[in-house]
Amino acid sequence: MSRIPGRRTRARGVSLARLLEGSLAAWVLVVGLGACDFEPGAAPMRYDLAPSTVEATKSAGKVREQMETSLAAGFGTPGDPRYGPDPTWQGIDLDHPERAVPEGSGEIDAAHRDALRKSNITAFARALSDLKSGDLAGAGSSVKHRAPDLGRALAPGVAPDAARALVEGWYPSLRESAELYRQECLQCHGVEGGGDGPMSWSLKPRPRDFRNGIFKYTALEAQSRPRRDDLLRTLEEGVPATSMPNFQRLSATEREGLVDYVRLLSIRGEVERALVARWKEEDDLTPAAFSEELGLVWDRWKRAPEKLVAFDGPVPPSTPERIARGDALFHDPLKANCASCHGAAGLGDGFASFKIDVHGKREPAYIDAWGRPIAPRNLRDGLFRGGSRPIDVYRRIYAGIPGGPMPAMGHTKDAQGVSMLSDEDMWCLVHYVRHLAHLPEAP
Amino acid sequence: MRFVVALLIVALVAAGAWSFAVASAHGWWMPRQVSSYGGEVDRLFGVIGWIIAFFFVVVLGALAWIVVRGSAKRADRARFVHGDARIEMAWTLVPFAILVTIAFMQLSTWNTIQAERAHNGPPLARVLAAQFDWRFQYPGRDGRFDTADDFEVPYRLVVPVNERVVLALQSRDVIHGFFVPAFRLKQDVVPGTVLTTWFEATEPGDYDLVCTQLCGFGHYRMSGKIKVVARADYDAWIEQQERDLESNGREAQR
Repeated sequence: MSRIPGRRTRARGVSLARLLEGSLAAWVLVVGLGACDFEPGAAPMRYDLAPSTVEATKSAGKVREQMETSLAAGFGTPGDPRYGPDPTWQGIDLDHPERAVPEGSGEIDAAHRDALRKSNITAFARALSDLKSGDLAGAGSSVKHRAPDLGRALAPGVAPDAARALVEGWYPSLRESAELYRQECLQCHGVEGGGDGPMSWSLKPRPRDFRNGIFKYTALEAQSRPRRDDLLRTLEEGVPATSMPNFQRLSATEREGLVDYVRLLSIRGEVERALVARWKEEDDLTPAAFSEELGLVWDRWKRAPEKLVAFDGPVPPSTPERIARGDALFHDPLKANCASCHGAAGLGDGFASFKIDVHGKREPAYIDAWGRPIAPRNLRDGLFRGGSRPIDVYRRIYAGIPGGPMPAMGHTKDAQGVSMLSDEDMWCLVHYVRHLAHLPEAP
Repeated sequence: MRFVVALLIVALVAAGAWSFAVASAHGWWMPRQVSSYGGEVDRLFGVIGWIIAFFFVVVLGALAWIVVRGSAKRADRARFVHGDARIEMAWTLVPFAILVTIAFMQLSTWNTIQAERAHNGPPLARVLAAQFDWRFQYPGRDGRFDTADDFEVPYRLVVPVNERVVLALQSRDVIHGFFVPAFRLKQDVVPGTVLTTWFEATEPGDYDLVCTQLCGFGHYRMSGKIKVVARADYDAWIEQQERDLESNGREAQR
């Protein structure tokens, strides 16, 4: 022992290092295992009431409980969502197309259904061709837990014909769509669709809060709820100049399922708000209140397709004359008066849309339906959030943009009750606004 | 102990070689290339890959040998070596020669992909990159940008096969990377400037487009497709988009 001086010290050093090493390894193991999601979707999630509801019912715990109970009974939980009146409700069940779905904007017509079947089978064929020599295990792994039925179809050992039939008839259940929502949408839009997901604070503009039923970019009159097609369009195209990307990565059927689920969240949020309003008014909630309010809310969604904004006849083409006339209307305070908000150059800096606070700071003068300041769009940056086709721009101008100060110019009338803008005027404005987008953006 | 370490090093070499050998069978390798210059890129990649593989084996072999040879039990007393001019010259000149060789070998490929891009005519489309989306602006029938018949599509860029396609890349926010693995094409998209790039796809099909610059929390999902079609199909598609532009909102579903 004494032959090697310093041996003891060294031995102790080793043990200390071992200890450190061991505890580090244990820490990595614990944290690593903790982070692993062994059984996705197994963690019990629930829909919380909106902060405004909690605030409103602060002194009435009983009412809040009653609301929570009836909402949970009607809409289930994120792990097992259901749609009030019909637990099997979704856009359509491709296996049972004859099964009744609520009438109105929930229906998918036969042509659309066939397109979905076809797109399912195309995606299936692609998944198969990606694999070498009949090894089916890989194709299912990505869809296994979010679409168990589809996963089963792609599992090894399933006869090709049976797999094909399964795939062709696949339409996500609400539960599958909720799982997909959890993976793709929740980080921004939140569990209840309140636009308050964990990443929402970092986004500008903030993600949409579905709970008041207002969706900005639809093909409809401002006061209506969106159709399936409007929500699908947003998923297919994204919303340029915001953080909302397109979701063409997903299959057409998956997007349909997400639309079902977003509608569920939106309807749930609307019913919640309606219950709060009713309680405030009547100071009491009867057991029938829930289904009555749900009926009223659904009725608005059902009638959406009647509110389409479209133009009869061919769209007038863009000409220099129309652009010049649009220019005049844009700046005319007695006509369209767009310049007062969007600015003389269309840069979104018009005087009417800003106020100067006591410190001399310029800030947006308007507050939107979600309680946030809203500034007019810069029409020069070349991106249209609701689509850049003439008809898309026409719809923005004609019906306005719900939730914000953009007025429905198609319904603006002068003192004599005559429309301020004729159809021709409207198209001149459309072409002028599109022309503005094509000008170089001012420095 | 030293044999265990040496064995681990040898195992590392073996694992590297094994993954190299089975990569293509498992689809870990790059996708099959389908562009006019993809073959050149692959050839360069192969040459550089083999050089790296050679030195990987040599260096790790040397390391294993030193571990065994230089262990405390075997070695003599440590001695001070000031340096060895011959060895130092070797490890300076050999890498230098290799780098210069590679530099000259890649000149023509670089020239094809980067320098020639200015000679390929006007852009077929503008690529607008933004967190976390690819959008493509086409000039429409008249072939000029910023006119009334321009249209814009998300996600899928449609291009004709066997034709030189020039793209103008723009970013709305941060740096993105325009990477099409099947074309062996990778070009950063830098905000505040317009960079052009080009390719000529040799086979129709749908090819992945991914972002290769970490651009934010949604970077992993910033993907798209390049759809390569025959010229006639391309023209028909443009025509379809132009008709969609004239929609009055009745005939189309949306």
